[in-house]
Amino acid sequence: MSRTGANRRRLVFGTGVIVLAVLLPLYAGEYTVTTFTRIIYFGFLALSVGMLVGQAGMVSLTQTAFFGLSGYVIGLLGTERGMPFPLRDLIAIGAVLITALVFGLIAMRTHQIVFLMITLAFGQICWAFAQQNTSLLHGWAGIRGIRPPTILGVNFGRTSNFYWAALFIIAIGIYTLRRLIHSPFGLALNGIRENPRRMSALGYPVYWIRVASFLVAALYAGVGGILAAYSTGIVTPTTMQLSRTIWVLLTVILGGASYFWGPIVGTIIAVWLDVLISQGTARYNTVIGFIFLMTVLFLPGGVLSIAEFFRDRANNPLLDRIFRLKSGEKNK
Amino acid sequence: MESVRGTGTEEHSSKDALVLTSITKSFGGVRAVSSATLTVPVGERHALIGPNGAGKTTLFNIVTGELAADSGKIEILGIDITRSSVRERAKLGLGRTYQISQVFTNLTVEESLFLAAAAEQTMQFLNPWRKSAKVVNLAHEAAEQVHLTSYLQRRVSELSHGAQRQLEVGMAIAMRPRLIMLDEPAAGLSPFERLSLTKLIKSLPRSVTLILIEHDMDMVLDTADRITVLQHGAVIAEGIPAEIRTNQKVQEIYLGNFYA
Ligand SMILES: Nc1ncnc2c1ncn2[C@@H]1O[C@H](COP(=O)(O)OP(=O)(O)O)[C@@H](O)[C@H]1O
Ligand SMILES: [Mg+2]
Repeated sequence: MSRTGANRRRLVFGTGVIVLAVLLPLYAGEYTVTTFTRIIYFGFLALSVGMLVGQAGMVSLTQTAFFGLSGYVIGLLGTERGMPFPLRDLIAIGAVLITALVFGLIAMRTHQIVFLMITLAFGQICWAFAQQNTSLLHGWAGIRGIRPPTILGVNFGRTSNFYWAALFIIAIGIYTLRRLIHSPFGLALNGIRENPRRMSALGYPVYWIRVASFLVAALYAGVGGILAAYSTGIVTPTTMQLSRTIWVLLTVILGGASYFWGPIVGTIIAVWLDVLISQGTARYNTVIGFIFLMTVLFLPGGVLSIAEFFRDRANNPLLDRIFRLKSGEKNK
Repeated sequence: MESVRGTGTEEHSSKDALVLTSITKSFGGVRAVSSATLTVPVGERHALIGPNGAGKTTLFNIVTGELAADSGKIEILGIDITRSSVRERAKLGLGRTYQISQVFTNLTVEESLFLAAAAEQTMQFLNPWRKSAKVVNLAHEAAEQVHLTSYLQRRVSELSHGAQRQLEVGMAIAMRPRLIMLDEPAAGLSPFERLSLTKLIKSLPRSVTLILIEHDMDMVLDTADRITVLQHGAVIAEGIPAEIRTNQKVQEIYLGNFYA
């Protein structure tokens, strides 16, 4: 049976990836492990954006603000005032959820371009506040010296320990998000993406479903922000600046916004490109921009659409022409 | 179609499914609906006819709450819903289809019908929707009724125009409404599809009230108990098919296109 065959292949592949990921600190160097930790916390941010863009059809430019906010709360309460784990972390998540609720109640009344503008404004307000507030947030300098906790004698300040903790947390995050997306709630989000008018007429509380999805997305961004603060040790206005927001959005599109694994695959590619290119060339932004342009041109559905794309390449005039030229067919 | 929405919570003893009193709506200078009054008893099959631009769709949008009337009163099943939201009206058992299909282009037929059937259920957040056997069954039943069973796993965007129109009706039926409003459901259907749609309409239980906007007079005369004729937003005639057929004003509008 081809279906069970495909299932088995998927199982083998999945198990292989999990084993490789779990054993990473045993066979890879510290730098590689740190890079994968970076993939995990940006992965959370990408899942946040990906859920809104791919599942709910809402392009939000606020998610990075939640990512930064939770980091700031950890820094302010933990590093500067000595509040212990896990209280500061729970307060950080609480702060993110309350802020997201306030933003959400306003933003979810709007659609499309207005939604884009209002989330942009929210994000920019947070960024500007962090940058201008010197008394509490120390302006551009931000908060430094954020340390992961030691829990039950295990020091999560060690790169490998922290990586394992982060991996465990994102595994839970991915599993939960998958359940959520395949639930009636997830399907309702897709319905709202496709046709909010029809969803209202069917009797769905469209506004509240959107608010709920915004809260879930903010939670993911917030968790990513906590991990990032611990891993890098600092949080500054740069953590939530617009270029970061755009980078995450591009990452999600690169991987494939409509695929569950799109945000994760996009993040893996983008972070490694980041690492490799910034080591190799000064024209970093040019190279990244070029790669992104190529992806959008040839794989508008993202990297994960590659299989589907080859299946119906006839629909893409550009690639169809290239393939015909190659195989020597005449284009009439 | 045995159980319908809104049952259990309150028993609506009203004998009228829909009562419209002096509904008026203008778009800028255009008076789309002009002091329209209409009563549809529970169980009636009521047709709303009239030339293009008469205000039929606008009236539907006012009843469902997608447009607010400038003045007038709307009651569904004895409840004043003039100020209620679209969602509240749907919860009371109001289901509709659209003249211009409002479908979920990138979802499958099964997913679309599931959404329609699940709308009145308590929202589930972590259990897979495919595992909600009861709702999936309701969705499949609706697919059966509109002859889309073999298309369940197809994306809506892959369906023909006719099949999308059938899905429109299927989604409204999957809601199990008490008052169902169809806006030109036969537009773009083949003669065969029209016949099966007519059969479907006639097979709806009499606990369900139906209001039908339709230009296909065979279908109207075959299904309607009563007919209301709208012109320039105003009700110009109302009665049983035989009365409408012989009505002088109606004959003038339809210039002999209408069965005399
Ligand atoms: N959203 C709108 N904005 C402006 N004018 C509208 C709008 N909707 C309908 N109209 C106008 O109202 C009148 C009635 O339209 P409609 O209700 O669609 O008629 P019908 O469904 O009977 O063909 C038409 O003159 C139409 O142009
Ligand atoms: Mg119309």
